[in-house]
Amino acid sequence: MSRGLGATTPRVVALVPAHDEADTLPATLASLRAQTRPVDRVVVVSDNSTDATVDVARSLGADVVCTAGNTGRKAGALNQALAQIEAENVLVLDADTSIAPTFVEEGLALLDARPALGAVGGVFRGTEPTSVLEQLQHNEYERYAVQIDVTGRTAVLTGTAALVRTEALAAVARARGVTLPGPPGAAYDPGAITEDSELTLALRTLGYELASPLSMSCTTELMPTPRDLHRQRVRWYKGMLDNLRAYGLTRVTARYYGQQVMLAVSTLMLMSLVVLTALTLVTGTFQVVPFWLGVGGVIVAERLVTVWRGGPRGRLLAAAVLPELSYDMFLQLAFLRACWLTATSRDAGWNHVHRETPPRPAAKQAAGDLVGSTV
Amino acid sequence: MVSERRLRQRGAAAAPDPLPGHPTAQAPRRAYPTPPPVLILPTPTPPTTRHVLNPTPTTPEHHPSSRTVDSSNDTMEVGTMYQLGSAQTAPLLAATGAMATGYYAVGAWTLLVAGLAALTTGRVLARRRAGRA
Repeated sequence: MSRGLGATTPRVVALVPAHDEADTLPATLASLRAQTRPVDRVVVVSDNSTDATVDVARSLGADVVCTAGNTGRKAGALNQALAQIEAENVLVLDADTSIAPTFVEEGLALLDARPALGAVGGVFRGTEPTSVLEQLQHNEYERYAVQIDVTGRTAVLTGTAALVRTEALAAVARARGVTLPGPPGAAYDPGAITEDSELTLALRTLGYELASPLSMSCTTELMPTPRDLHRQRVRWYKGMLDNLRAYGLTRVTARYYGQQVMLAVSTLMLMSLVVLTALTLVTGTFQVVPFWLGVGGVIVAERLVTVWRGGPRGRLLAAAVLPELSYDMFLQLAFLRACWLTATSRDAGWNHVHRETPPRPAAKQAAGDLVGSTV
Repeated sequence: MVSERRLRQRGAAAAPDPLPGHPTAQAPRRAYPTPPPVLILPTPTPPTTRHVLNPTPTTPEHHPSSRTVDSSNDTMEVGTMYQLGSAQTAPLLAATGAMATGYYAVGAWTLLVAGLAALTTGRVLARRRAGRA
């Protein structure tokens, strides 16, 4: 990565970090093969895998880099791989994720057209939901995509699939220990449990722009159980809180601090609403007020419109209101737990989802795409 | 605040008879001692079962401050009675205030969320309309 780029330097190298992903890897590699602009090289970064990940990757024509003594989780694995490859751009793709066929082509076109861009991230979608819990996550991802589409803002460069300029990664590595947190020379901070949000802050701090066009979609797995979902979200929330603590309040992080404050306030308000409503019911003072019914109607309309394209099941769930309200409270509990872990300086840890049934086909991708399994 | 004179007049007037068997039915009736009960300093005596805690509607004649109590324990009982009342009122007021504040805060937040929701709905619909055109 640190070497100079020559005329023979590959344009795009795909890095696929994997830990025991033998089941999901074929679908991910299939989506890479289906690109309208194929990547120049595929490198599967096997990190302490104990299953057939390496064999599967090699059998499907990918190069394999096995990490050695990595204690820095995904970030550490990526750093080891980056030190061994040479490319103009790196496509970092999770082993449980499939990308749209035009992902690389559109990403490269954007990077060529906008030199200030440090990276282009995908907009992630969920696999075809098979339960209410998965449908709720599906609705959430759908809304996230709508929000990106409407506002044009990329909150976080998703770690599931992102095309990053090698030059930008090298600049981040040089700035570590000087203007950025993390060990000097590391493109990804091995201390960060959410390396994607950390890289987002790093690139923005160095003045790079980011983009996430809606058409560059990637399909990632949905958490099958509440426990898996809770663990995933605790990690996401805590990762961002840790990153913000490491960066402090700056011009770049101010917006993210604001988001955390709003999240905390909305948590408090939703819980207050539930408690006060319960109190009015208990004391027999509950009344239906037409004005507040109207206000509620406005909110329900927004919930419906933003998931409209997610299909009838998504709309039904949004119209029912209570399931999504409960889901929001469930996520807010994860946020509170993340706050608690951050305050007590404890680790959130990773969770590896073990499915008893074979991975299912994903609806939004080409035939053969399968569901991944890393939380 | 009821004046001392007024209290004496009330004591002289016929007070309503307590229900048969009620503890106060045994108590001899007379006017409140001075100073008025609300000014009596709190005593460390625990409450007794002989307190009359507003057993009837609080018309001027029936207001607790106009009641007669056991002459052998006037100060203690009246003082304790008002202590008990204050002790109950403060948390009640605090709870009511907190609830009222909570309602206003949640109401304001809900309006803010609804405003943002209306804005988002408008933007999404406009975006889709533009996409179709």
